[in-house]
Amino acid sequence: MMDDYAIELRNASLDFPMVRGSQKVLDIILEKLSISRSGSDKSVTRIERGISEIEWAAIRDSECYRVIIRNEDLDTIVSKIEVLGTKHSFDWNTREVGVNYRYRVQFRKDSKGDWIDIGAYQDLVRPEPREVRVDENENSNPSYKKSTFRAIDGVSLSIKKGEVIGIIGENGSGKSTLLRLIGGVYAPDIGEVETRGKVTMLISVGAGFENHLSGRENIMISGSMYGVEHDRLEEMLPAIVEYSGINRDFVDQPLRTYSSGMRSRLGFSIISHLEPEILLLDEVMSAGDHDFRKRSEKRILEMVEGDATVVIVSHDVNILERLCDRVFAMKEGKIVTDGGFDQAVSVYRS
Amino acid sequence: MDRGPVGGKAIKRGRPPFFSTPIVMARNISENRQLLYHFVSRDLKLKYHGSILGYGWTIVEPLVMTGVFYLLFAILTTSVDPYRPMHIIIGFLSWYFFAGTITKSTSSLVGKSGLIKIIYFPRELFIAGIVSFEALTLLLSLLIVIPMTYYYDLEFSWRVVLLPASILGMGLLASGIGLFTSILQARVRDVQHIVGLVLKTSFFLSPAFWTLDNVQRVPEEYLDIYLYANPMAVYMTMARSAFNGRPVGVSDYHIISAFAVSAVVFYIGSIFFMRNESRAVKYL
Repeated sequence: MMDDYAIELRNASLDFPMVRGSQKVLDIILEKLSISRSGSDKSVTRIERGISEIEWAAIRDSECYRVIIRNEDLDTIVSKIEVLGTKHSFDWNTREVGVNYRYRVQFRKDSKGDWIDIGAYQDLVRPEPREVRVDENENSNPSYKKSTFRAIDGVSLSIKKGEVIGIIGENGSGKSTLLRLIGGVYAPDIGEVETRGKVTMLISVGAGFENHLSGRENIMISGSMYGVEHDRLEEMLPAIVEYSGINRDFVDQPLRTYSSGMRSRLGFSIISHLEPEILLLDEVMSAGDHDFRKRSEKRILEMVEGDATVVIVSHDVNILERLCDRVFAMKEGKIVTDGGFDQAVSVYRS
Repeated sequence: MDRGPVGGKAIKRGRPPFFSTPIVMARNISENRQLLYHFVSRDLKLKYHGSILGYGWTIVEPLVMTGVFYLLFAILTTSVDPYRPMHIIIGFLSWYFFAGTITKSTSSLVGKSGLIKIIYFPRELFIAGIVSFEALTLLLSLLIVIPMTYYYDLEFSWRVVLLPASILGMGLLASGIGLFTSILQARVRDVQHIVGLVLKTSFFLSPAFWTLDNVQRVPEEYLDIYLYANPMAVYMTMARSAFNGRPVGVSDYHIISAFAVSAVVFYIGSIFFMRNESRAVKYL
């Protein structure tokens, strides 16, 4: 029976180093942005890892500021944070000076879209804390003392071939990290992760795209990063181009001449032609305009319903109910339910 | 090219066994050689895209530097090396290969952090791609030396095999160092600056724009120690000998020592890389 599984995690744990000092401001901003990631819009998903330039230093000095986060892969401004005001404060309990920031977080889907408000937030930021402060109740968790953070905490899970597994949980509960752990981005610090079959991890479209290369060259390089053989890619190339709906004349043009819609359609088209045995999905992805979005969602669902073993991480309870054989809820890095859908949803909503 | 055998044996990710680590690394690279090919061809296309001179720049820069140092030497020294321009250009190109590989490797993981977090392939592919690309650039720019050998009326001898040998040695040493620094850079971003500083210093300490014949005021025994301590000096001298056809001018012991040092650095570097890359990724 041992041959039966496609993915097996045995007591897998993963520790992350804690970020300290001046990065605190940045962390809080990102944390706020991650709230927006729970929405259905996928363009926001990219903020998490695409940050290449953050003009956040200005926060410290003047009254009104703007933080622009650029997406590294697509070079589009997808989000901005406007600091509305600051107020110095003094905490009588800890006897520390802090600065109160009020800021508004906005994002847009592409460089021409309208700015959409996510919300206004207020946070107390203590300038340059010397060390990571340990709260009384957090003291009970020994990992805080080493200034590490246990992102995945002793997860054991066996997934059979062909099964579709859903994972649900709040932001920061470790869902996406678990997906990356299975996908090989991280290796477990404790325990084991085993996979059988070709693993394809779909977290964002357009992985490895290069602005100055042509669409054709980008298909080849992105495809081979996903582990598709060269000859197979050459075979698939016409189908990929056709599915993306990109004009034949454009295929040999450099990617920088593409609109953001064309890029994501091309990126998605590559993904949808992969032939994974184990498919790891971070949200059910979709891209492009309304029509393409419908088609792409349909295509992803086809992949999920095929032979592949699938793990989906999502906030969308309906999709998980429709697609998954088993659904688990995650909380603070642990899997806290045993596979029942109703149980997982009730834990998630509690 | 498959990352996982189809229905075959299970893939367990984690730290590879200590001593066979370089074998695991070699297997990963060979399984992903198509991706390696794509990396190298992408870098080649990107290097000269949009520039009019294109490949010409590979030659222009070392030529200009050679001109500058040739003039400097003509003014400052009295040494009579008939092949000096050729020697300088070979030294420069070798140094560019060595320093370029290390500099690019150092920032490879950090620079590709976005990619590393959304897609998995063995990360040693980054280093392998860089050293392959730099070696290819070196070979392409060495073409300029061939017309020079005609000018000097030099004939190729059996010593031409010293060229691939020296490139192999330099590649092993540079990628071995790069395997270390890429991981360290992920932890502490100062590493990049330290590497830059050390490389700038060692440029002057290696015979890039001078040759061992220029060193006349230094006693033999110091030169002996120097050649053991700086494998690059041995490799550059070997590469020069490959073109001018004259005896290498360093003892066999120096050559053996240079290769041994490079192999050990590469071996330890690969172990360090393979056993720490999964942790280093957490800092990206």
